Amino acid sequence: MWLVSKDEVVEDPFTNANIHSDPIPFQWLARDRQLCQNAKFIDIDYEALIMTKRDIIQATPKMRELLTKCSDTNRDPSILLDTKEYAAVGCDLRNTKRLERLLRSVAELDDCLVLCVAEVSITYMHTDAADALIAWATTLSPGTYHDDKVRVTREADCGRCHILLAGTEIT
Amino acid sequence: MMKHFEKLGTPLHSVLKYPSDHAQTQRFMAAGYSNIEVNSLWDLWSDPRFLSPSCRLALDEVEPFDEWEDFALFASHYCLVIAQTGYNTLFPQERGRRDSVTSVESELSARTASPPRPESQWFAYRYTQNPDGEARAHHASAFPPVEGSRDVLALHGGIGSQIRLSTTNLYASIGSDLTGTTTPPRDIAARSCHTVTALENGWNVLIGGRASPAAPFQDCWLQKNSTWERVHDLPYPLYRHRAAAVSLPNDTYGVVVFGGKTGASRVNPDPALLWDPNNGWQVLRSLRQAPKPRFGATFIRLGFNHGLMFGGMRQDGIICQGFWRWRLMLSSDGVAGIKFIKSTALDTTVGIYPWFNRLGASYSMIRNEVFIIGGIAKQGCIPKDYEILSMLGSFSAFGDQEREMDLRVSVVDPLMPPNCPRPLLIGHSSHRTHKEMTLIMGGGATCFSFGTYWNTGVWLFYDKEAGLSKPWALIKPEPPVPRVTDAVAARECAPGTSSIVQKTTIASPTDFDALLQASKPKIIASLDIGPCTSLWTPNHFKSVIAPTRCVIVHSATSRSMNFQRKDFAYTKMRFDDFITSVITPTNDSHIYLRSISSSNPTATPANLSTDWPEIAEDFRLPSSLDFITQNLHSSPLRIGGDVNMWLHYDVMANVYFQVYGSKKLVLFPPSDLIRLSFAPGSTTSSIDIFSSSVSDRSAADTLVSPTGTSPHIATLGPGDALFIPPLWAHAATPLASKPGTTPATIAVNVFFRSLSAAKYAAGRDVYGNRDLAAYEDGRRDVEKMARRFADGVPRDMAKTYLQRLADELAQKAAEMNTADEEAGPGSAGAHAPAASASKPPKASMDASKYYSQ
Repeated sequence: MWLVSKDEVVEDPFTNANIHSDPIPFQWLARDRQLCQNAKFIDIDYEALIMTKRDIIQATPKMRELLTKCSDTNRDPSILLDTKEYAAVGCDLRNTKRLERLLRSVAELDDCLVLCVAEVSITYMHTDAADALIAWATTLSPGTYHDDKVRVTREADCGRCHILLAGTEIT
Repeated sequence: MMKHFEKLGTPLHSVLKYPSDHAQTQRFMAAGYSNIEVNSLWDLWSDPRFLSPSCRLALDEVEPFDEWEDFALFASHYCLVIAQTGYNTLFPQERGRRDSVTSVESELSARTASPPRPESQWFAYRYTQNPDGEARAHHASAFPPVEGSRDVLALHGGIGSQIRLSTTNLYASIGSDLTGTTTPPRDIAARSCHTVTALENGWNVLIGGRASPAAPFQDCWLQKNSTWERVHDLPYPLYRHRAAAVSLPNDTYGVVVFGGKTGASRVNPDPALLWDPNNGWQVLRSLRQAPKPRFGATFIRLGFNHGLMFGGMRQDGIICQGFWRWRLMLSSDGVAGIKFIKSTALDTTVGIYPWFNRLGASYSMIRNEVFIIGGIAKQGCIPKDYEILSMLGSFSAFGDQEREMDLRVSVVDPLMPPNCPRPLLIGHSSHRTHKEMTLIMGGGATCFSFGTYWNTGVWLFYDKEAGLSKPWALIKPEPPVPRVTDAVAARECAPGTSSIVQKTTIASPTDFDALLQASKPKIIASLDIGPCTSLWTPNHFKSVIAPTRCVIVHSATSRSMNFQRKDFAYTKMRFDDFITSVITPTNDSHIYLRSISSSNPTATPANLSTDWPEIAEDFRLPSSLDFITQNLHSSPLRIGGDVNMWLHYDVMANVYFQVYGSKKLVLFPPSDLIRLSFAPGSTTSSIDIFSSSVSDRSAADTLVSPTGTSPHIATLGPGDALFIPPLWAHAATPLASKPGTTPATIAVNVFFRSLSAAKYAAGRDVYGNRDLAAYEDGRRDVEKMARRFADGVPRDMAKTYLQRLADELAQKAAEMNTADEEAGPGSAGAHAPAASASKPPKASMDASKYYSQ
């Protein structure tokens, strides 16, 4: 709900790392396109899983129709889908260097606020890797010392909280 | 929960390193975030930033829901961490929260305040396991089922491991006289979330409750002396209300009912209701401000007409705060109404406060001290240290409503003796006993996919200084003698004549297969089972098994042990002390070891090789018994003194190897089970099959077999093996080597599957006695059938239909019998096809029915 009341938060990319196909980006795009006009959802998952997800999106007109301006994805085989609103990226979250490189290729990270959402991914990762990912997220853009360039991480340490946050669950 | 995720192959790695809100906060602080907020999902449920009251209320329309405690437990185990870099927080802050970090600290201090101190351990638990793992949860109702000062309590209704119950469990201090106890008749529909209240004059009033959350009950029942009768219906259906006995003018006694739900999504809006035997129900007028409507509150009776009220849940799923006193106001011409006064006696700044107001807590009193037990709080799952709170106050001066009372609330940390499990204080009931103790009964919760947890015992909560006189236990009633159809009765009710189990030899797997197919008990002589027959004696075990190894043994006060009566204890002993007790002829030698798994006794069946590696090599199965090895379930070691094993049956096939000493076993064929007092679903009988000589206690016991049964006697000496087919009930008594000596016996038995694996019930079966899946499912179906008739069908019709169904089942059973007899011995079990072949064609049966009319 706080996403709705604080418009400025939603101005820039969302990073959405999740194991199952998380419906959040599509729910928001369908529900309030205006609110999402400056936002980009970036979905990160293991390559095999994100491929499945990409296939589901492409085979589901209701989802596909929400996405515009499809960019060329040949530049990196791990970028499976890149549109104005949404990108699907295959990456092991333990490899934060690669993760950062891939993120930079689909978003202007330095000019935006980053909101990270992680549910089961952080919960199921080994603790050291999860901690490293959490720490890495604080270094995402160079605006560290400027109050107007704030990075945000939201972690839901839970497999099911998206029921509460977003209403319905597609699995 | 952790086990569940491990089972799925997705263990929760970080939960051990960051187990609490505080640890999560520090985790994100260490990673470089400056603003961190941690909330459990249960916190967020009541947080207006996430869900508005109207959102929560709207959910009522989606599904009738009343599993609030289960939901709160679930949601308390998940958290949402919001962590942010920079200094301007981008998220709306929780109302009233200061800087998030300091507020987390202050919250922490509240949560960790007053940890248990040894000097606060004034109280202790005494735990007794229920027979057969019996359990019931979801707010059954506890009450004293007998007048006077006898220590007996009853627990009616609730939800059992399979189904909602209309039965009553009796709990009593061991040895209590149960005569004259009256329990609600079974035809009061099965229910939970009702109340049973004991009035000053010894009557009990049962009020409302529900089947499903959308099917509340309006009926009320009164127990006077030994009868239960239906009394005035409530003005509306009601459940999750609270009730307190009150005294009215002219020696009349009544019940005040507070709160509750009148339907799936409606909370009772009336301030309170009053019932008395002359006028029935009336809505009580509130004489001052009325507390917000709620259900599952704590409604305490402190005196004849007054008490305390707090907690409970509002219509929109939030646990109420605030603390009230209540008083039933009487006037010269009757009842004026109820007066609630908001109290400020409770210090809201102390650490206990967040855990004070609860949903679904029970309360009890020991002398003048009130105990608030279990439930859930606004903050969710109540931490262990705060589960039981004690309230001491100037309750005697409480009559003066206008003056604020003195009140002291503190945490209670009952001393848990070794092996005492922690009770899950959700959906439980508690009641004071006559000897100023409190019994905690029932309880358990279902956490969605994580499965269900039940309390399978009772906890006696008592003042350590006052001491414990006798433990309490669930007393299984003598099951009613089942009705035997006349034809069967005429044929089989001849006096039971016993036959002797014959000896045989097994030279090959083919011989053993024939034995299995015959499905009759046989003593197998001269099997080579290794050097154990010459090596094993109690003294030999003493020399090869670590003396300090701990074993849990059955320990009885006489030779008889009865599982239904629970007239024995499970005692933990050093192995050498145990052996000494077995071989020394004292009164302590009524002791028996049935070994259980040394690694995981609650989940893994016993296995001689892994549990007793020091001696396992001495015992081996000959190759003629390879079938057992291939289908092995378990192999417990049995060492017994002068004590009998109760009458029971096993579902696995069994070969019992007598290694040392002698034993007499009596076995009954499966068809005798209905005459041997096996309650439905129970694998143990309540009757004592052996009778001790009164004049000579050391003499061997004599067999007392019920009329119409066919006992088979097997006398086993060292080296004998006895094949016990599945479902053959059996009991055992040790035989002394010469008169006057103490018998001691050593045996190993092997349980094995004689049917295909799919026939057995899925899941855990540690003792080889879980009934077949078809029987377990069948019992559920029977309960369902009975319930369908119980609801809205006149009793005489329901009874007739149920009897007709019973006859139909009896007919089907009789057909199986015929098949067995026709085919002759040697075809039992295998031979379901034979059974169906001999069944008369269905069409002709139906036709004959029409023609005969």
